[in-house]
Amino acid sequence: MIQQDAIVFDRITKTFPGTARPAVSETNLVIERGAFVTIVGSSGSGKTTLLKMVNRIIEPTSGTIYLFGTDIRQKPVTELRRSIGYVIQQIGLFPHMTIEENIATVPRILGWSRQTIEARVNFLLDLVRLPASYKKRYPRQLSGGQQQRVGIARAMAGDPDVLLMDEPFGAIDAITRKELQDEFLAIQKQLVKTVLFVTHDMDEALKLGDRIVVMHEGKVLQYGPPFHILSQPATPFVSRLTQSDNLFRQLDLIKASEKMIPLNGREDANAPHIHTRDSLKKALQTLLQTNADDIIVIDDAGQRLGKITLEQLRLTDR
Amino acid sequence: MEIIFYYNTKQWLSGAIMGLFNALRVIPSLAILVLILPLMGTGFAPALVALTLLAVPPILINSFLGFRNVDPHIIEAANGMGMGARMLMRKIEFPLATPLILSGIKTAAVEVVASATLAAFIGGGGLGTFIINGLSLYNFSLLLVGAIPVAILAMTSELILSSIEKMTTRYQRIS
Repeated sequence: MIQQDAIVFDRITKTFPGTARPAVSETNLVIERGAFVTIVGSSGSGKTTLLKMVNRIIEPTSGTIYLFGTDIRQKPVTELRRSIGYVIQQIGLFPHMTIEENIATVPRILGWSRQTIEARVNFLLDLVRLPASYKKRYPRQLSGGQQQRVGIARAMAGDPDVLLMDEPFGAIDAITRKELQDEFLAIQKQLVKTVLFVTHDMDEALKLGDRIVVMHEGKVLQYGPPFHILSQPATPFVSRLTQSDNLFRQLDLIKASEKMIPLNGREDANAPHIHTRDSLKKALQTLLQTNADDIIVIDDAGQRLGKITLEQLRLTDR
Repeated sequence: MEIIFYYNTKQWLSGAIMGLFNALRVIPSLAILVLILPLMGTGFAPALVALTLLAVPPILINSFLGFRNVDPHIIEAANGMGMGARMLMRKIEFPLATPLILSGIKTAAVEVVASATLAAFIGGGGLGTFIINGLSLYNFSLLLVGAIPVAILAMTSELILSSIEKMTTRYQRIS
């Protein structure tokens, strides 16, 4: 049973020397295996401190962290860190090493064979969508977005089960950030890694996380799925932070397939359609743009599955 | 110098050491040679000691700065990947500090070659003897016999070390 939990925080407190208020206080948190958990909060909320205690960059003042059921203090810190992927906002690529050498760092420490490492590097470059010709380049020859792609590949090189990410897309321009978010989300779903992802951007937290931890002044205010955070904010602070009164935000989190109603044969033949995976926000936009009464929901094969009208967009049943 | 001072205030030990060597740097090379004289007398050995004392500060100060200047985020990334202290030093810190260390060695080399001529004053021998004799005898050709090789030596050591420096920092310029 305990093996289902990737990371468990048990009454974790961290007080930095010379500060009165703990950065993280008495925090209990259970992160399930394969979950994508985003930690969101303003600066000084303790979110980064919480993250960095998992790979012991920061040591807690009291409490225990369990990784797959074992206390993280039971093995040497270097060994622990090799089993955890770590991505930081500043990327921190080694400027004197090529992209290939950067990615191969952990596999080399782990003593993998040359062929295994080469295959792993090729696989990862492909995964983060960088051409194989970049292997021999140096970090400064790459753009910021490309560098963070390498950062992600490097963190996953040793095939860790857990990835810790500290605002990895924080310093990247908005367009590239969106691209990286989408691609990373797909990668996480494909490889089923447990991800702990710190961000101060609520949109990013809602978009990426299966579950969201909202932190404020060292305490976890709420922990739950995105829609839950928006529809039932635990405190007024969470509500303010998430702007949960923002209906567009809520509509954005519901898929068309969840709300569609059966077709009754009286639909306009020219009615616009959207995909089952599209959000209700897109449905609303389409309704407003086309001035139609219904939107037909179709699947990948183009099959008409159902429809959405203005009625389904009233979030009455929450 | 401000940077050194800033770091000095953080760690008193490195502060004390760097302060000492900075002070040493201010003493002119001739003064060091003359100060050695009452301690060790004349000859080759005291000249060697004096020149070594002269070479240490620039190398030490630059190495110190080289290590201090490594981006802390690179260190954090390396730590986060499970590198131990020794591996961190060998694979990350030392290679990244190399350019500054080399430029310290370069400064030291040129300084030593130039100051070695002064060693003649305390009987250390070398090319300086020609220069000093040339000056006192008002014999310019004798002076040049000393001066030209010294200039060539200083320039070649500068050139050789510069090219080594360029080689090790190729990654900084590639585009």
